[in-house]
Amino acid sequence: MKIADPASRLHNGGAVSTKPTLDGSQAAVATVVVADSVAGVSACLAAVGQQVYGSAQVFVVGGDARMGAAAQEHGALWRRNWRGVIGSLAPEAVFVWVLSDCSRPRSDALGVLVRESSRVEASVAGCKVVDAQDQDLLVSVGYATDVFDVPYSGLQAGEVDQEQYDVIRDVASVSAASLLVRRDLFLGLGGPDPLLASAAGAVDLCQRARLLGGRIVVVPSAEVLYEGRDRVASWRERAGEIRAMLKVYSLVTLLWAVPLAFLSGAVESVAGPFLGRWPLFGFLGAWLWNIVYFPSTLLARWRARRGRVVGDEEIFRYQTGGSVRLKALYEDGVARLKARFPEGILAGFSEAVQTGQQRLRRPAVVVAMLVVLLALMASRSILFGGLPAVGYSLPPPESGAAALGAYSGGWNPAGLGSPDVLRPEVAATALAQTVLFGKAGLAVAALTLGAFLAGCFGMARLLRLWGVGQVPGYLAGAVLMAGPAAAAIAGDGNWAAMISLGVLPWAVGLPLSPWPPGWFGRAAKVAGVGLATGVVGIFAPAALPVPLAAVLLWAATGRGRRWPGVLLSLSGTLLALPLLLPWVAFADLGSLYASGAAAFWQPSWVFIAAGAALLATVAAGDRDTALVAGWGGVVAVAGAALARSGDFGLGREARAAGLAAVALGVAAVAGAALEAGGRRREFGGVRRLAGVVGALGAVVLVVATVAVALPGRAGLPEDRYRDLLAFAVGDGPVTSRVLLFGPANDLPGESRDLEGLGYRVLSPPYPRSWETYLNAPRLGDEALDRLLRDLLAGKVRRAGEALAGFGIGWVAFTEASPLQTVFDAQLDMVALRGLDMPTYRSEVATAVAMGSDGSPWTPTGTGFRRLPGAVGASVALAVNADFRWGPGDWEQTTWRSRVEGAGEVVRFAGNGARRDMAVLALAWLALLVAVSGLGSWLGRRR
Amino acid sequence: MRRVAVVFALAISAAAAVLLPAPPPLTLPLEGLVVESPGISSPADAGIWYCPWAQSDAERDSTLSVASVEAAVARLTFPLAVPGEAADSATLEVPGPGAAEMSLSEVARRGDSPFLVEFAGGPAAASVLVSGTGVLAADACVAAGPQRWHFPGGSTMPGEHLTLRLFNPFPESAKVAVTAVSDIGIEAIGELRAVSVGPRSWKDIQFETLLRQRQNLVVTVEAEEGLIVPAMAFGTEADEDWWPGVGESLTWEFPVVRMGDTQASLVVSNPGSSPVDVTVDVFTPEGPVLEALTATVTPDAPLRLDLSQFPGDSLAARLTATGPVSAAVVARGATGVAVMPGLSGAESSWLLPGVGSTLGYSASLWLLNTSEEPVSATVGALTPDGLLGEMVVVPPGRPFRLEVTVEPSAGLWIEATAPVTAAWSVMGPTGVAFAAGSPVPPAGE
Repeated sequence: MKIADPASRLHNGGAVSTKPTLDGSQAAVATVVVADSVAGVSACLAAVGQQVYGSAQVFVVGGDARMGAAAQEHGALWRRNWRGVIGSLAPEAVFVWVLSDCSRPRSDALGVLVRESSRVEASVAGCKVVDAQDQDLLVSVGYATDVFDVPYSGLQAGEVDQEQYDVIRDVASVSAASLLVRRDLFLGLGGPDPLLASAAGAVDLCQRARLLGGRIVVVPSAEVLYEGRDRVASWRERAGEIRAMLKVYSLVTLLWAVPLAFLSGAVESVAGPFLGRWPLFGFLGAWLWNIVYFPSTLLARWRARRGRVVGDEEIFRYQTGGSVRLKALYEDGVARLKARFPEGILAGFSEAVQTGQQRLRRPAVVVAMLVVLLALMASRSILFGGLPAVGYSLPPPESGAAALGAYSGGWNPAGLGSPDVLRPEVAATALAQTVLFGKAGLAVAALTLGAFLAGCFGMARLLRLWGVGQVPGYLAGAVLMAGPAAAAIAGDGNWAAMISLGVLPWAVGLPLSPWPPGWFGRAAKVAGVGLATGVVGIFAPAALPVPLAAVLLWAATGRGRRWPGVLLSLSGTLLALPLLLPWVAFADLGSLYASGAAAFWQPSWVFIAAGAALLATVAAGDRDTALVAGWGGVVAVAGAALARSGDFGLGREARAAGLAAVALGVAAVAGAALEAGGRRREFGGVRRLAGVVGALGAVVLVVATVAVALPGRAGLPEDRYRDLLAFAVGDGPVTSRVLLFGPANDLPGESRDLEGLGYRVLSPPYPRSWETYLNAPRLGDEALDRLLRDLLAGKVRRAGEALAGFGIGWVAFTEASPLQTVFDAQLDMVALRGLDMPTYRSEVATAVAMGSDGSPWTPTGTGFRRLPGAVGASVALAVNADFRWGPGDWEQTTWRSRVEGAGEVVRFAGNGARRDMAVLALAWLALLVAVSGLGSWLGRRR
Repeated sequence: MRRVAVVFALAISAAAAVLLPAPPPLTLPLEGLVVESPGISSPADAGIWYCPWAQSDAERDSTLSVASVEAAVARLTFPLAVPGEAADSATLEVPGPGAAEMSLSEVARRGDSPFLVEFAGGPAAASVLVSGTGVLAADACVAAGPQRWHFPGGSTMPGEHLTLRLFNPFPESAKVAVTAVSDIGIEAIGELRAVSVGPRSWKDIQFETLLRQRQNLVVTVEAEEGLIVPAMAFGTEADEDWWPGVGESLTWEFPVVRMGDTQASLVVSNPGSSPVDVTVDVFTPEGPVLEALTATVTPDAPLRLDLSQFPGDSLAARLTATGPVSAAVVARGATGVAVMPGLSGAESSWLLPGVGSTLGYSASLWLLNTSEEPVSATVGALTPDGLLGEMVVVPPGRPFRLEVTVEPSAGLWIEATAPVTAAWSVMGPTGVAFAAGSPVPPAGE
């Protein structure tokens, strides 16, 4: 690292240099003792007086007249403040030695300091500090700090001095017990910040010196004994650390460091009491102090940075990763844990802890942990409370096995039911549910968190292929999963598309990653691409071509080995298709992109930042980052065009696919911009400025992820239906349906249309995911539509009786509607007052499945079970007629099904061909997983 | 240079994406549709008829008659006015065209028992004839009604009783405001400003105790919440009649205003805020007497016009006004009392269920042709077995009366070549009653 000579930039235009102007052995030193107590000052001055290397001047700074008398007694000059000291420094003084009044320097300390610091051309030099009572006990051999300027000694508690640190080292800061500073630098810095406590003041002084190109070293051969304990309140130290941060860091760094400092302090405050620490008041006091002193801090910042010759990176070089305080808290917790368990039980744990500690010092690990924290925060509501029932985000059925059965040729319970095939995401979620002990909530939580993490880390992995570092990569991952485009997807209530989004960077990255040398690895890669692409398609079928399109665009615009990736991605897409069976074989793929509300996405203002980042990076970034940003821009623009193409007849699915592409593209732009920002020092002038602008734009995108994280629903809208239809659930089993009216975009899942008013039937208390997508209208749906139009025309006065035939016992409106007047005039519908929405109860007893004896049958999976004691020989099913209902003799009555001679349970026999296809899909999935996993393992072994 | 080109291309592409036209805005739910509260109106082809006045006890019974142009099943529902109690019900099958009837005592014998009739087909109509000791009352049930009902024709002089029934056949509670105007002006009946009627129940208000000794008392009922089907019963010591409420109109026709020894009078009420001039054309057997009576009706006092000065055994009338008014005819005599609201519009087709259905009483059909040309009409007797038709010519400007002699007949179906108004009367030893016909709107309306 080359440090520029700051000679011309220091001290009010004076010719100040960090290089010694005198030989170390001849340099005059002005010693300054920082006064706190008279006794301490006296003892310290006595020790100074015994120095072999005499001081040209000795000052005592601070305290009152008594302190002045004590100083005079030892022949020292007393000054009330640092300004007085600076004004009295002798011109011949080359060094200023700042001592705490607790310090008792050994007699050779100053001489060694002067000699060694001159030899290594240090600007600030510190001593090894040992305990005055137990002189074998190390107190400090210089400090690293974390990014929040908390000093970190690196010493174990009670660590004995065995000269293990006796080498001159560059450090972030030296102890306030003893600092030797070059006089010209001391004058340029204006001395220590008088508002800061001792330790924070030392860190601040050292950082400011480093910002001006100074070198900070610790000279362990110079020893200082430290008497007593630090008397400064810890909150003052905390406050000083924050002020020190605010003074030296660039704005870009402050944008993330200050919130993180607050966050880590908050975490420490919450976790501290569990370990007998109470940092909350110190934490609050420190921030309050900084608010009060903020104007002064701004002025000090201006002074500190006006002549800087290095950037934040130089400061970061001597910092440790993570938060020192949190780490200490963690270590304390581990130590307590160890103390509680017998030796051996935690064997291996300590090694893991040590490895973890090593990793914690890497910024990438810290950012990765923050990304994990973001994922946990963003999805906490889903993790603990399940999926909100709103839009297309509906909780899975209680029985995963039933959902799998329904998918594999069984009955589709949406609306009035049909044998139409369910969407593949229902099966995938049900599969996860089955694996996770049948817990629907656990499956949803695992998928959500898994997708979030997969997206973040997958994005980092994708960008690493193109030379983007891990830290920008992880942050880009956060933008992918919680950025503005992801927020738009989630805002549509499209949970499944969020899962798809999490896998998208893998489906793009795997084909572009290096081609493995062995056949096992190659097979694993092909299978992996198919698997990743398949998962994208399973959860968002319309997004299936997005990975291929993205890879194709990279091939067209990128560099390196890329065209084979197109072939690989194409293969992956083809391999993914069997995973979508039987849905893909029977779905109307032609109308897939046109279904739902017309696609028209309105970008938020945050995209201005994305645009700025894109343009700045493409225009001024290095070749690598410009290419990545350009590719991201093209992908995002193409996605945006797709997401806004409602005027061309495209609908909801196209919008989701387009937004997924936008999310991928914008994340790539953010990652490239952050990387370019990090490399900006390699350039100068406008390109450097552009790098800053791009990085700032990316930072805005990263910060915007907080908007998704804060509510804790992964961006999904607030739950709407989980409790809204609870009125339809009595003490017994739910046997009837709810007919829900409202604007189509307010109804759960798909809906049908009645003169612009959406409606659909659903099962209370809230619809499940298998009810999301309605079947193409069948006889029953047409009959219901006719009935509703008759109602609208005023031709029906007993709507309850008419709706009973459809198993509908309740009518509700999501918002006030003119249609209510029609229901108000019905002879057998009772308006329920006091509910959250207009609701009518039918006075006619009804059930979806009604026995011939008039007793309802209860739902079980997609079938129905006879209630105990019911004796009816037949059961009438208010579902679209299908001959596969049984067992028993089936007959069609108008649009309904009727089963004569039914036993205890009636169910849909299922479609054999579809069941076979579903089994094939499952087998194909197992094969892909096996080949991918085994191949990868075997390939690595080789 | 290449970078500039890339930036330029990206900017152009982004601009193109941004400039993609928005899809046409979604239509608002039910936009362009006028979804009016159906009130108590019924569609013509599957109507519901509300019959607020029906009684069956030890001294009187009601004949419930239904008639339909098409074959239909009529379901009669008799609410119990006891919360949680299921209503009684009955069905009548009607051939198309045809009529059917039943006695209320066959279903429920618990005094007052308002009910509703639901037809599975139509056009159809229903009526109630109450007969027994000292009572012969008849009128058509209602299938449509205004939001504000008027009941002209009542009085509370000694020996008279006047009962307003508020029937709520719906499952929602209703709240109505009842106001009254009499000879002494607007009546102060604040306690009736908000009368609550529970779901599927009814409430009676006795005006002979509430507002004593009013010679002319016009009651107005307006629903503020929910829906109400009101009816009024007026009685003397000799007889009683009931009639449904009417709305407001500029023209009212009365095919019958007098029969036998009764003295007729027209009662007109002006619900507006300024005086209205009314003109009454009287149609006697000798011919029309145009502008026989003229008067001004003020908003704060009903007008009673005596028609006894006009000769003839039978009499019809037409009232025209310069502003919306409500009107009814009251016929009183030794044989009894009959009240019938006016008919606000002429139609070519009418259904009159219940005519001639009660043995021992003489029933008559009354048609009024106010045009200047004779009108041919087919009078079909609706029997349980079907239709028996008879062609008649209705002379212009004269009351036309046709004795109904076909037995067993449960109603009439009139089809005329031009619009007429139709009503029927019944007279017997226990009283006299007038009942309005039910117009059948032309197909397609």
